[in-house]
Amino acid sequence: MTQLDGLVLTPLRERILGMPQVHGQAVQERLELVAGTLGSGDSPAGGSATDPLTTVLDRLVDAGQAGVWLLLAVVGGCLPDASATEAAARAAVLDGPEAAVAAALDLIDLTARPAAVRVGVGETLVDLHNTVQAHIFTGIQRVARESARNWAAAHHVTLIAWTDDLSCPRELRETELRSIMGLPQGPDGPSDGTDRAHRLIVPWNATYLIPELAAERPRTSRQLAMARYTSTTVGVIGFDTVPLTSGETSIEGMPGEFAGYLAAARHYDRIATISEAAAVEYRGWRTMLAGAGMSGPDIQSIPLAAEVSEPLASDLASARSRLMIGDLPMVLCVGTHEPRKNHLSVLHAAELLWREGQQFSLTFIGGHAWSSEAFMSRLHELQGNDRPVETVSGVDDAMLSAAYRLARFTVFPSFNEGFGLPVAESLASGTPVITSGYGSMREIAEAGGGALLVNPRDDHDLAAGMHKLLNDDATYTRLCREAAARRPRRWDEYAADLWDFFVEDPKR
Amino acid sequence: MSPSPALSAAVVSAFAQRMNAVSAVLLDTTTETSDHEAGDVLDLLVASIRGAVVDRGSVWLLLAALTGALPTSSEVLEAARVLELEDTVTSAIWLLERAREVSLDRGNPLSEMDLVTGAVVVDVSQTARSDRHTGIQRVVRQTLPFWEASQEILLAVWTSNGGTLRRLTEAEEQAVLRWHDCPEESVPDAAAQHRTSTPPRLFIPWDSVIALPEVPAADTCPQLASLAELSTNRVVVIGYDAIPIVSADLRPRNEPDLFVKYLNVIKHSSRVAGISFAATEEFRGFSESLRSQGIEGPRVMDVFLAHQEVGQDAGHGTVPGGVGDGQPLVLCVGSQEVHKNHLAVMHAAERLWREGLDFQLTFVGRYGWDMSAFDEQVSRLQTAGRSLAVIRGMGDDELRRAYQRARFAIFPSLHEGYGLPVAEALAAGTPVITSNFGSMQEIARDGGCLLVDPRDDEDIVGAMRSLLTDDPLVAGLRDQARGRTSRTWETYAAELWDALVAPELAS
Repeated sequence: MTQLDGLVLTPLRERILGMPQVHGQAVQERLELVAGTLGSGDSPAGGSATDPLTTVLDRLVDAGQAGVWLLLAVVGGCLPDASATEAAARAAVLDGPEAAVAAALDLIDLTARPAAVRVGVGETLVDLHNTVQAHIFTGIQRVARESARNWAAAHHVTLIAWTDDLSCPRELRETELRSIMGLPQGPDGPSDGTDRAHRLIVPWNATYLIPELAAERPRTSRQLAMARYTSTTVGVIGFDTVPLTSGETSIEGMPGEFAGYLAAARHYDRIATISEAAAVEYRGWRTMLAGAGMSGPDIQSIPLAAEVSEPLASDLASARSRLMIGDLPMVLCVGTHEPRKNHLSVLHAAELLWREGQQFSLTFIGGHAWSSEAFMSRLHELQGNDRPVETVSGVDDAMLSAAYRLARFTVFPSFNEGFGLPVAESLASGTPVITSGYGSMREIAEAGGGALLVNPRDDHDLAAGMHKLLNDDATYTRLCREAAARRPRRWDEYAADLWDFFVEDPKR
Repeated sequence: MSPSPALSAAVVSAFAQRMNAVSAVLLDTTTETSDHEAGDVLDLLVASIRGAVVDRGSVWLLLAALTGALPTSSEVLEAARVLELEDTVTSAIWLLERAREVSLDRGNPLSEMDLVTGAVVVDVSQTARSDRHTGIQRVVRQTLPFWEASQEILLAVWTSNGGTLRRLTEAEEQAVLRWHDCPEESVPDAAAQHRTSTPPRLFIPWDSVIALPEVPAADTCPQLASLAELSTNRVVVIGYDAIPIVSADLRPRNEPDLFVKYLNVIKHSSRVAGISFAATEEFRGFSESLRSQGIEGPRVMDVFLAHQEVGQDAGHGTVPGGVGDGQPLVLCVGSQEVHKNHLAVMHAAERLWREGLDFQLTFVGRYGWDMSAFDEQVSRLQTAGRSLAVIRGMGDDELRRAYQRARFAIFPSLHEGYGLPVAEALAAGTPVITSNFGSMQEIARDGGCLLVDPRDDEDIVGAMRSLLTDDPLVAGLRDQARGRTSRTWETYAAELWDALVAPELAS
């Protein structure tokens, strides 16, 4: 208590003194952090002689809404949303900075041990919250992991996740870091899987990169306030706007979460879309911002990489025995069975061809998804009629890359894709693909050939395409040759292009 | 329990009528078909539709007649695929089985249906059954009487199970076309529909224009999207705003889920008329984004809403308490929703009260979504003795007098498709403080307003201070407001028809 000698015991001081000692101590430290952060570049931080509360009150006067945001974030140990920031800033304007400090103290959970907080001043932070939680890698998480790995290898970056309640960014645990970087876990296995406290990170004048889809409301509402009130610049990868533009194919609840992400993205600086088609979608959304009087972020298309690993002979052999029926040509369709992927059309086109007497097997690789019942029921009907068709799920990378090479061709007649990874992966494996004649799928096809384009809303066009690749050897050979000649884009090239746009952009 | 023979006979008779109704189109015959047995007609229809490549529009119509419910697109696609693979008998049995399932969900197996071709069908489901008279209902009730008087239109509402469209009851028609003649509390409710002696006829539109002057209920959107995409009908839409998608941070969590179902209807529509340039930009942006899924999207144009003074000039009628107690009145009209930015208005008012300015702030509007912070702030300021009132309901005539008494109105909304209160205040000759972007800026262009950045409290405080203290400024804005020409609903209705409906009828 001696450091308070000679100071007037204001209600605020009284309140801090009345806290459990561990929290009172944490408040003092956090106030020092706020004082130092707001004072940097200014006069020296005041030194230990000055009471941090006095310095904070003094420095808040000219720090505006950003200063209030920082105060709430650091003292409260959680990033505030826009309405909390606005309410505290208004209170400060009416009743002085003490009111903002009081609002920050209100945020402290006195029942929990206070976590250590640091301010990430000027750092490049990479938000991987969903990716570090994931056990199986979807397309999006693959993109996030590859981007983060390549950035971390070439630049100084801080990889972060969020606290379990999605209230504040935090440092990664050792196991999470190793998993993202593809490093083996320690000799004793995951050594700190226990809940060792990891420091919370409050971004300040930072570059904040989100290479995954962050759509959870608690997170997006806090990212919105950070982007809106502080000078931290935010760059995100834009995968697609499917929940908005093909909302009828989205699982219930997703459009609401996605719209929360879009609300935050209005305040972001840059969106790197994974295709030109996705850029068209995001630019359309940006045009929609007119009604809210906002101009939105810069949007640039940076096409994804499509590396596939060369399968081992043993992988090829086991995939052949698992997936193929003798020498019957295999048609492969990769992707979850959600309505947007149009797998019912694939089944119908195949049945039309089987009735004609065409000889081939049809293999789907992909998990069950929302609303896949109609697909499964039709699949079972066809199997009941002895059609050579099956769906396989839980396939690992080795089996998948072998399947791409064993297939005569793949089909991917999706209604709407931000990129269409199976199209790129099939072509990178040297296997022709039948895909939709528009959007990102067309873009991939036109960047080097190897694809036959069809109208996915016309079953007969799809059937004609399949008929052609089963029977027209000249066309088939040409497409194989084109696919084999493609040079797949590497992940390090993709990550470097992103970095140039997000971080090195001269407009900064 | 098996159905009674009388019920079965009624089902069969209604089924036969519906089959015969659509056979006129599907069988391309001029012979009188109404005497055919239901089963025979079904066989004839299936035989004529099925084949190597089935026409999806014909399947849409057949399913509608089979079930008494307009089909969704997945129902049409599934049936079309069956008809491409199976023979006539198997197809007919499959269709009957599927029709039974759909009938149980939202069908009308006991109802006869008319086939309506070449018509202009206007879906007024919400307004016909609503006792509200704000926003969209106001637009519908002001516009459609002019269409009704000058054009051939067919007003329609969805059946209560969301199955298909039907004509209006007399009470519903009055609620849409003659709202001001409606006696209080006479607005038809769903229960009243069932007591009507002769139920209104159900119908299936074909080769028609379906106009949507409302945002349809989410449960009818899949059927409307299918109608727009797969049938021979064209859908045209008034576009109000895309707030649920663009400003979702300020709206209820589930709203985007419902709104994207509406956007799926718009995706397959032919035309959208935005009520302001800003609203038009919102729908244009959406339409342009559809290119990435190989869809052209609707043609989007702006038809600016009418702006006329609200209510009747009733001279010196009463005004409710809270309006005009001697102090200068600052009026803030609009439902109490987060995106209306009422917290900023109260903050600015408190700043000025603390500066010693004397005025009354009155909010007029329905209670909206999540206004806990609003309520808290109101009670805090009222407890502190501030001159602040909240009036939840006000008739048009009272509202007109309130506008006339106000020193100025304030409407610094964060997002509006139009901003009706801005136009209403100006039409009453009252200056307005409003937002410096979007539809509000468009309305302000003809004078009478001070524009502010609604996200900048200082800007709002400054504008309010000016209008509270600067009498010549207020007088000047008042002159500007009085000098504005109004735009009548008759003009709006005519331009809307020319932009949305006429081109579709011509094509």
